Amino acid sequence: MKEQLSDGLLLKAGAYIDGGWVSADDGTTLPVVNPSSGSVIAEVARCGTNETRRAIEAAEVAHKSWSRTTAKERAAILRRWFDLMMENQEDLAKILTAEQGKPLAEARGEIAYGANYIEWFSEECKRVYGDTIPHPSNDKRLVCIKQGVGVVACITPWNFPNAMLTRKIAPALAAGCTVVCKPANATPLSAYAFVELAERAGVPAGVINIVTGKTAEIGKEMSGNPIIRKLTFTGSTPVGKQLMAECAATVKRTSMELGGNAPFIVFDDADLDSAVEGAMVSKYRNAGQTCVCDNRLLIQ
Amino acid sequence: MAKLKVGDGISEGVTIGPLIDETAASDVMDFIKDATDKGATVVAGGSRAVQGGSFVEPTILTNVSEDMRVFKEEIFGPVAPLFSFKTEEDAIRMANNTEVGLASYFYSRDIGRVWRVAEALEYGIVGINEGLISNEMAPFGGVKESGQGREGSKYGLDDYLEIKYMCLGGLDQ
Repeated sequence: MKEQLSDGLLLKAGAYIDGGWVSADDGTTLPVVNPSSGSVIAEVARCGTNETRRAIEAAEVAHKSWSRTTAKERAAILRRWFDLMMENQEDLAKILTAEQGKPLAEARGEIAYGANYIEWFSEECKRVYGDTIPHPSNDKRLVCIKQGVGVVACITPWNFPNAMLTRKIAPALAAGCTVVCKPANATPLSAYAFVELAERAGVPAGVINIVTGKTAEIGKEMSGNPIIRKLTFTGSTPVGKQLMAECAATVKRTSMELGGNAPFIVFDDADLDSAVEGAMVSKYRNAGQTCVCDNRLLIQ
Repeated sequence: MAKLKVGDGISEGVTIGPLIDETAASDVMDFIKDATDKGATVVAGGSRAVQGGSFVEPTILTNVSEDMRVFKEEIFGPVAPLFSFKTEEDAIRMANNTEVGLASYFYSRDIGRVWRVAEALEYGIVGINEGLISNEMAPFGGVKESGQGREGSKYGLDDYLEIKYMCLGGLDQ
C-alpha cells in the first residue's frame, strides 16, 4: 500500500496516544484487510482497558491547555488541518478504498465531505455566543456563557471511516474539548492517516487520541471512566442502547447516531426521472451500507 | 441498473464495491431469502456476485410486504424492495411504521402534499425531491430509536457545549 501513496507516512501502524505512536501493552496487533482482495493492508495495535485509560488521562491533561486557547487560535489550527486533508485527498481516498471497499470516486467524495466538517467548525467556533438575561431584582445581573463539555469519547463505524469521525472531532476541538476515539477495527487506517495531518496542522499532543483493538474493553472504559464527560457514538441501535445504559452510571452526556430504515416515497405526481435518479444514488451508494440509504421504496 | 458495475473499488468505472466482510454479505443474502420465502419476486440481481468474497449483486425485489424483514430492518446492502401504496395516508402510515426515524425521502410536485407529508413523517431528516441530504451545514440526526443529538450545522456545536449561568449579586450599595 505504501508505494501507492504520494506520502507513505500517512499509512500508520500502532495506536495514537498523547501525540505518540504506540504498541499495545501486550504487543499484539490486528490485521486490517482489504475487502476486495482479502489481503492484509497493515497491522494496528490491539489495545484494551489500560491503553484506553492512558489515552483518556492524556486527553484530560491536554484539556487543561486546549480549553484555554482562544477560539481564533483553534480556528486557525482546524483550518490548517482542513487544508492538509484536501491537499492529501488522493492518498486518503486510496487508503479509504483499500480498507473499506467503496469505489475510489466515492472515497474522494468522503474525504472532501469529512474535511468539510473541519472547515465548517473552524469557522463556527468563533460564533459560540452567550446571553445576558434581564435581572429579576436590581442588585443582580444574569449572564450565560458556553463552555466545552470536557473530554469526549467518540466511537465510529466502518461505513464512513473518515467522515463519521471528523464530524465528531471537529466540533469537539472547536468547542475546546479533547477526544479519545475508537474507529471501527475493520477501518482504522483512515483515522490514523488523518490524525497524522492533524499533528502537522498543529493540534497539540493529547488533544486527539485514537485507540483500536478489544472493542468491548475499550467501550467499557470509555463509558465507565468518570473523566469522560460525553460519549458520542455512531453505529447500531442495540450497541447505542447498551452504551447509553453504561453512561447512565456517571450521567455522561451522550449523542447517538443509530440505525435507520429510510422510506423513499414516490407519489403519482412526482417527476419520475429525478425520483429514479435519487433512488439509485441513495440506495446503491457505498453498496447500500449507509444509515440514510433508502431501505423501503414506496411507490404509488 | 445496467449502469451499475460491481468490482474492486480501486478500478476505474466501478460503482458497487464489496460489502465490508463475509458476514455482511451473508446477512444481506438472509434478507433476500426471508423475502423470497414469503413470496417476493427477484427482478434484478438476487445472488452473490461473480467476484465472490463479500460482493453481492445489486438487487430489486417486488411483491414485498410489511411482514418481511426488508420492511422492518435496516438491510445495509444493495437490495431495493419496491412496495406499493394507494393513498397519501397509506404512504405516511407505512413510512412511520418502524421504531427508528433517521432519514426519509419523498418525491412529489404538489406543493400542498409536500408540506403535509414532510410534517407528518416521523424522521429527523426529510429529503424532498432529493436523494442526497447530508452536508456539513445541515443538522444530521434522527428521532425515535435512531438516536439523539445532531451533527453538523450550528446545532452540531451545541452537542459539545455546556451552558453556564452566572448570577452576579450585591450590586446595591
